[in-house]
Amino acid sequence: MPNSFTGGGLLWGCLLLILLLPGCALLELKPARPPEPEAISVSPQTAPLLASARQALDRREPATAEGYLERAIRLEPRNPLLWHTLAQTKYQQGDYAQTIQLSLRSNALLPQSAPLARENLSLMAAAHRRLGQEDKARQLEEQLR
Amino acid sequence: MAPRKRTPFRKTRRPRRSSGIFSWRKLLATTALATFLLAALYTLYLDSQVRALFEGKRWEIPARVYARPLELYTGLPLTATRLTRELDLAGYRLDRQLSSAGSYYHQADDTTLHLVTRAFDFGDSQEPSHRLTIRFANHRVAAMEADDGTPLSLVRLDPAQIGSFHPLHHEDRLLVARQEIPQALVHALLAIEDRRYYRHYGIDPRGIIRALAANIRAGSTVQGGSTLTQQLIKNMYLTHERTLGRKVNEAIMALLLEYHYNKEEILTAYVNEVFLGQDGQRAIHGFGLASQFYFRRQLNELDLPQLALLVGLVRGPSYYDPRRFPQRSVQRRDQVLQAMATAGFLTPAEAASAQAAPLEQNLHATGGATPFPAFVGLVRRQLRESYREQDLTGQGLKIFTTLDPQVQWQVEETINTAVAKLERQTDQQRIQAAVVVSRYDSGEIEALAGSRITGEAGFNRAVDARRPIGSLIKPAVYLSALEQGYTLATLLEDAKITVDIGGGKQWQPRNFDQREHGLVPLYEALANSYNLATVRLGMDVGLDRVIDTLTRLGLQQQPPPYPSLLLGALSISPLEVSQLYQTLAAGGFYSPQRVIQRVIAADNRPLERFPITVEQRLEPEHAFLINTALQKVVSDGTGRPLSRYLPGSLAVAGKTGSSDGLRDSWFAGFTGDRLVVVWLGLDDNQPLGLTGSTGALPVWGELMRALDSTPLVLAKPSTVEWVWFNPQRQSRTRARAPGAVQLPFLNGSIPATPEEAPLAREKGDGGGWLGRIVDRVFQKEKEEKR
Repeated sequence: MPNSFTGGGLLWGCLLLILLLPGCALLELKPARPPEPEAISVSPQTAPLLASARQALDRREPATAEGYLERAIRLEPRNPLLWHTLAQTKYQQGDYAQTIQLSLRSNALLPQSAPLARENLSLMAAAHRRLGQEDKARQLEEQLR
Repeated sequence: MAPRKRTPFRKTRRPRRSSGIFSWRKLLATTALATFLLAALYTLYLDSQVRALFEGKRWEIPARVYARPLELYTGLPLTATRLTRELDLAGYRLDRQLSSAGSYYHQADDTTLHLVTRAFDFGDSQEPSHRLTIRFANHRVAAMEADDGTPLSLVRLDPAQIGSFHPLHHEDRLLVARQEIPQALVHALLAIEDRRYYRHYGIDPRGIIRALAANIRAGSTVQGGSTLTQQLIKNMYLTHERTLGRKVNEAIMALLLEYHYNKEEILTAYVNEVFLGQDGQRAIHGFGLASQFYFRRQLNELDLPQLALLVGLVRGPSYYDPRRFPQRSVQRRDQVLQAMATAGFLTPAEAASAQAAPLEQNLHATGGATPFPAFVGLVRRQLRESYREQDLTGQGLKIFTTLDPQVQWQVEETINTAVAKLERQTDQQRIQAAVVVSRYDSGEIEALAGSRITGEAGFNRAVDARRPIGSLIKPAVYLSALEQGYTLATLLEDAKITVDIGGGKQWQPRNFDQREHGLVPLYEALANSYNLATVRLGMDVGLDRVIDTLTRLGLQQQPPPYPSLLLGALSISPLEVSQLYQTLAAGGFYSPQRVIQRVIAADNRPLERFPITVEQRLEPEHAFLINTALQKVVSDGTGRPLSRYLPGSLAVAGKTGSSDGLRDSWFAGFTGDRLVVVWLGLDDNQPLGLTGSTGALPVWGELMRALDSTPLVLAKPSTVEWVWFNPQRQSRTRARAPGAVQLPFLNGSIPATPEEAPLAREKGDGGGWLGRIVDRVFQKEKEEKR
């Protein structure tokens, strides 16, 4: 029966539209995708400073690395990767309290789900463990699971 | 009577007479011996003096204070004019040939600047000299390339010296080693001051006779008889009195010096010691500093006429001052050159060629007095906590600070113009000002003005003027409330309140407009700086909690818990205010405000670093909420007049403040990168007649308009969500509905209104047009159900 078919088609079409409309709105509500690790890049002027800092860290010269990173942070203060690397520097220097604080600073500039945020948590856990704060270290490791 | 016998007594008289002669001889011998011994002892004493002073610390080298090094990169907001000003401050010279490091020139249209930077040792890293071309476009660095056309991503300039800490005698010098002394300088010195230097033992009788003859021939004193060694002794150890005793001492000490030290050591000491000019209170000693002072060049970069001119100054730095008496100094220079030719150090043609050289134009002495006394004063104050005064003034420390001259100059210019404008508007003539500009992420203070007249040393109001901060305290009150579970939409009662303050006294605060505003949402009470709502809120939250919040923000003192504290009865300096707002601006991360980056020794050994440190003092979500409210202050509240100066897209967060009787006018605010605190007032604490909005805010706006600022984008924690909300109904609502405002809430803190819940939408999506259609459909259905 063409008429009933047509009427049924319209009904299904309306139902589909009703279902789709809020769906479109919901799609718009989705939060921005968290950045991938490689998505957190640094500016061209900061890149050589970060590279030099990493090389200094590899040579286990944290004070030198710190100098480069502070210059970089002056140029690009809102870059979480720079704060994270500064936290690594403090870890190498044995300043675990600052390691934790700088990791928190880095995380404050990141979505919680960002891979770098997980690296920060991992670094903080290691620093807490070095400070003898095993409970806090485990709590952070729980978050990482 | 028996003849009297000669008594042995008589017999012994002769020997006694002969014994008298003997005793005179003995006396003479004893005296001679004693004199010799005394002379020997005195010589030994002089010897110990000479050696102690020469071998020990021979010179007190003042500490040098540097601005932050300018980092050049593509995209940096900077013009050729502004860069040139900084290069001038750093002692660079305009030189079309770019003949040596520390020179630059720019094309007339200011689009291109060529530069040779100076190598610099920062202690922890070395910066080599760069030869580069910088292109500018749209008030930014558009490109940078090396000489061979290679693009450069980042170049660090050597920092400008902005001050020095001198010992009491105000001597300043730049030490040079023997190998750094140009041979032409040595020749010039020998020719005019001591031709037989390498052939005498400290004193030179033939030189004295020759000088005497030359002076008689010339009819005036054209040559001195003192050797370089004697001159050094005179300068280093003795006074300038003209007595025979001093001359004798000088001669003995010269001989002793030559006995102990070789000619090269003595010559090097002379080159570093000799007095060559005066710069205000600062005495210019040594050829190393004189070269910088007069020619802005390293000593080894000077040409023959320049070296000869400096050598000519030895005779009388003031009399032959090339800036004041160019003709006279050139004549003296030519005498030096002539003497060099006579001594065989130059051919007559070389001397004539050098004599034909014109005196360098733009002889510009780099000032010893700091152009930024308020900032440098603060640096010194902070260093005194770690260093003894004698170490600060005598060890040649190099102090790297956070001062950004570009920002500092802008602060000074703005104060000059904006405050003058306010004075015209208010008929006030004595408005004082203080400004603190900082990078809140690192806690570094970029600029500081402690006075209306910024170049003058004096009372530093930015650091030492403790004035009531008025409503600048309110963010601490509201933050305390947010931490206790209030939301930005919580309704507060802005109605009269009487507070019992003890001793049978009562306090009845009022609003600035003398009105009551009824129930107002929390963010609006802060935005409009309502006093009554604030006092009610603060009393509800508790004074102790507010004080605790202030402490976490960085307040050093412990204020007494008086209710009037809630309205800013707290007297602190602009610098202290800046610290409180730094913690807010950095999202709750406290960083001690710093003016020093590090200190290195005279030999570039790192001594002390003042690193970036952070400490989380606020939960990120609370910081986000209060900072959003501070943005509302600017977009909708007492900070709204900022829109005359800055675009709304900067999303500035800030707060106005005024004290009782409008004695103090404050504005503290931050953009994406800078925090600036401005205070205006009168020194005698009389009413200024300006609120925070009408006084400090315009100064703040003018300053930030001139500085290149980035928009403030608050990092939203995941525990916060944006909601369209109707505060009066205390319910969620659809986007842009009448009475709706978009506010951030902590997850779980949104007042539950189930019937409105489906209408809520996140920020930035608003549901889109499809969403709005659906909203309308659901809304209509609801209304039909009702």
